[in-house]
Amino acid sequence: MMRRMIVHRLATSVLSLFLLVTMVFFLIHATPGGPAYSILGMHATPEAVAALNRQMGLDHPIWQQYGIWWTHLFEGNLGYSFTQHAPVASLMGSYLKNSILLYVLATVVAILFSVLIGMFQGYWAERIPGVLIGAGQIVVYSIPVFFIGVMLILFFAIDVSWFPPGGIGGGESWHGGVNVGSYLHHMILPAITIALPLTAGLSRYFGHQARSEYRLDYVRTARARGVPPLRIAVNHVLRNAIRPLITVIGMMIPGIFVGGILTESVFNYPGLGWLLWRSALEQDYPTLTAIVLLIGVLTILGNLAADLTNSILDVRVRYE
Amino acid sequence: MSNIPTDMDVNKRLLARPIAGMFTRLWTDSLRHWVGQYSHPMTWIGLGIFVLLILFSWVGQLLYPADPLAIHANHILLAPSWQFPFGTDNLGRNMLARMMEGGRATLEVGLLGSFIAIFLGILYGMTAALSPRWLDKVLMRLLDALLALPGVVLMIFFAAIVPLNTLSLVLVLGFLSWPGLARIVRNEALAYKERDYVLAARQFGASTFYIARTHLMRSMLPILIVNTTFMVADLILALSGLSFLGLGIQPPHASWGGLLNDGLQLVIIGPWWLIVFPGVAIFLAIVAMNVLGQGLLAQMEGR
Amino acid sequence: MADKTQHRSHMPLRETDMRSETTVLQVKDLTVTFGRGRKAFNVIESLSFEVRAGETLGLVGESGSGKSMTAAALMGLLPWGGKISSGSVQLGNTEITRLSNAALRAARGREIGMIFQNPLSSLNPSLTVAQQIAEPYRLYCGATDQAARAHALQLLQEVGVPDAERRLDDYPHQFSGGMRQRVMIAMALTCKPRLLIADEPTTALDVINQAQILRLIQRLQKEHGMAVIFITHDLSLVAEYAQKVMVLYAGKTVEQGPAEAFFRAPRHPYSQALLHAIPRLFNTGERLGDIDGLPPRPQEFPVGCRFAERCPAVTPECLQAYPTRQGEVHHFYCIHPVRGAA
Repeated sequence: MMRRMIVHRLATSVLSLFLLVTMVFFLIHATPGGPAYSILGMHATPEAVAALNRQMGLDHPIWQQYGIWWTHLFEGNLGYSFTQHAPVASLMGSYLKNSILLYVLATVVAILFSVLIGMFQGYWAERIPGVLIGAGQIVVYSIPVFFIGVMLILFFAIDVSWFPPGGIGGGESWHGGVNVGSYLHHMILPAITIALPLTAGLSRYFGHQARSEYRLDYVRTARARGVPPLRIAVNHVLRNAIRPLITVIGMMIPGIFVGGILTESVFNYPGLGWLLWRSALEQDYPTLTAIVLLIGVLTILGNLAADLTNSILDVRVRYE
Repeated sequence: MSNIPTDMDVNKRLLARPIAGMFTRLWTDSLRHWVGQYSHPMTWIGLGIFVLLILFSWVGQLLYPADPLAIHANHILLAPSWQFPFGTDNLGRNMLARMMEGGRATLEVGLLGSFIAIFLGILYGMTAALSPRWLDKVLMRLLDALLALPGVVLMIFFAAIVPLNTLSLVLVLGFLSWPGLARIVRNEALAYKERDYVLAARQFGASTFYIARTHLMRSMLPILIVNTTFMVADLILALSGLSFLGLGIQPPHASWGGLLNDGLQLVIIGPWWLIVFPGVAIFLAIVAMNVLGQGLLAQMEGR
Repeated sequence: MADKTQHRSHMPLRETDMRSETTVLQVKDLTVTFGRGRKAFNVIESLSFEVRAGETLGLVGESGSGKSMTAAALMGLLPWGGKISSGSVQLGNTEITRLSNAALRAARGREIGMIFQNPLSSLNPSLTVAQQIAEPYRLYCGATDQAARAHALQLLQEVGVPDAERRLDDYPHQFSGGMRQRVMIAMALTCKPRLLIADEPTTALDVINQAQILRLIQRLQKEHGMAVIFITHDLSLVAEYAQKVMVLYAGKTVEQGPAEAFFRAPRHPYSQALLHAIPRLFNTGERLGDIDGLPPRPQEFPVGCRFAERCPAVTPECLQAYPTRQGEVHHFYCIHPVRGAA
């Protein structure tokens, strides 16, 4: 039974990947004049376009190009960026690393605060503190992430100079090696920006979990045995409420990417999202498609992982 | 004896004015009964804020007929004052007028995109729910595959390759948001399909379309509306995000996201009025829809 | 931890006085109120009773009569919005209503044990049985992990769980219903409490398990000299296991007294109706008596006798003022009592 489900999910993910790649490919080539025009601009001479077409292999029949596209993907050949003047694959390396650092930091912070706030909200549900927290969550959740970023810059980087208004730090520290401090200093504001809506949503979910857990009978029994409230919170309620956490995080991965893209553009943080944005603006199609594919693949994999862990955990609980 | 309606008469009445009839009857029968029953303050707050924003954007123009494109070279980057209640930007344009125009563009595209997504979502979801099992499985497999794709990233991608005007934006937004709703529609329709009143309707020979239109839509309406509000919030956020990135509504047309970006470019100078007003407007639109949705949810659970 | 300094040294002293006929719990004029100001209402009013060591008090009433609220009040576990507005609850020499939260928790862990109706949901599904039994022992009787575990093992054996050594590390869902209730009893007895409150302990069990559990409680009571408050709506169980009976209706005591006297001749019409509602083994030709209607809600408690509108013996005087107390040890509140000594 479970094996069938895993196969089902895998098949769906493969189908997603296939749809993604196909859609991206055909859309690129559906632009009027083909990708060559977009790269060279609308006023390119026909000879230049023909030369580029030959160079990029765009004069072959469409299905052949499609097949070549797949082989390129498997080889890791992601094309060449005309605006950045570098092979796309090498470009993406460092940008990807920057993004991952930022997103991981933001996610860790978000999870910590969400658990704390959620437990608090669960304990105080339907009383004034719980209601206030709930209202706060809706409000923070509704603030557009780029607005948060801009406001943070305005307050913490311009009005006071506690943090840099953008970019990424780095370079050598005074005793050699990587200047971690500078990196962190530049990452704090963007990390907070990404983490804020994430926390609002995650803590809301957690709050509901904690609330239902607190209403269960075993909490009453524990209280009847004189267990102090802090111990009840940590040993009893948290243990049970935290189980679906992994699944939820898996579901939030797309949201992290979206927040990341917008935040990186606000802070000019050289990450994958920033690169996506610039390549979209400059119509640098090779880079654009490569990033879209990469993020797409990561998202699909993230969903798949979340789905699978969910099923595994579920089955285990059911089996018990 | 002759007043007993015959089959022909019943059919005629049923088929007359299909779409419009669906909506008016849904309103009078189910919505009013349902809305009037248990009112949650959040519903009215959310609805009120959103209506205010709509009035601001469309009616505001009539009450404050300033030209959003007019350049006042002597009044650059002024903080809010009586003459320019929302201040001016770096070209001396009246921010209040620009905000109103921005509101029109943002809300228009957001709402229109939602309509498209709703329409497609209901179409796909209903079809899947009411079709034979094998077809339902195929459709759902396809839907799951579509749902796994990252929406906003694809929106950015689309925005890079299509010409950016209102129509294309509306289409892009709509086409990338309908899968979420479709799944909900299909699940709900499946659940309601097995209810007794549907089986009874089948008994007297009702067509599938009739059942879908009358029974299923009516039962699903509350959940549909709640999800629609959240989707409108998401779409407004997406559109503002795209405009902020320069990939949405193009200058010189104003949009709240675009205005926010303009403010960001000048942030070094610290003109809060160029940042706060558009940002708060976007926030209000989103929070209004989210609160409305939460309020409706609370109303439903309160029954 | 600050808690520990407030503990008395445990065990020896209490074991000796448990054997004598001391009053473990004395409740006087207990009133529990919910809400504030004009919207305040009492869920139980002026309850008075006492329980001695080795004695079982059967607390009887229908749903909504306030019996669970009484238990909650005794434990200091009233839900939000509720408080003990007047009266005193004395456990031994300690006035419970005046204790601080920390001291109250200590009292719950060490002096009072409580078992509940639904044993599966009342146990934490993700902690082992050993962990849950040992918890109050470690917290309030100051023991190490190993000592606590040994203690848990001993308790499991005492409540009759077979193969206790292996089952120490099992989770609640791995036990059957009857076994789970035994685990709950073991948890309640961890620190050898003086008082055990059993809130409908057998309602969710089948008849065989029911008898076993109740006999287990009886045995433990004799061995430890505990006082037991047995809350139930089933009078037949009270008849078999309790020495004292207290009948609650709509938040007030309607009749109270020694079990023998009560069952021989109940005086209050409600008590009589309850007895008639018990299915009998003989005389099965008789119709099963029942009582029409429902008890009033706490917000709607009438001025006079609260049973008046369902009472077969009601007269206009009943509605004017609450009946005064009649009788001494076996007392009741009714102006038209059933004839004594059937």
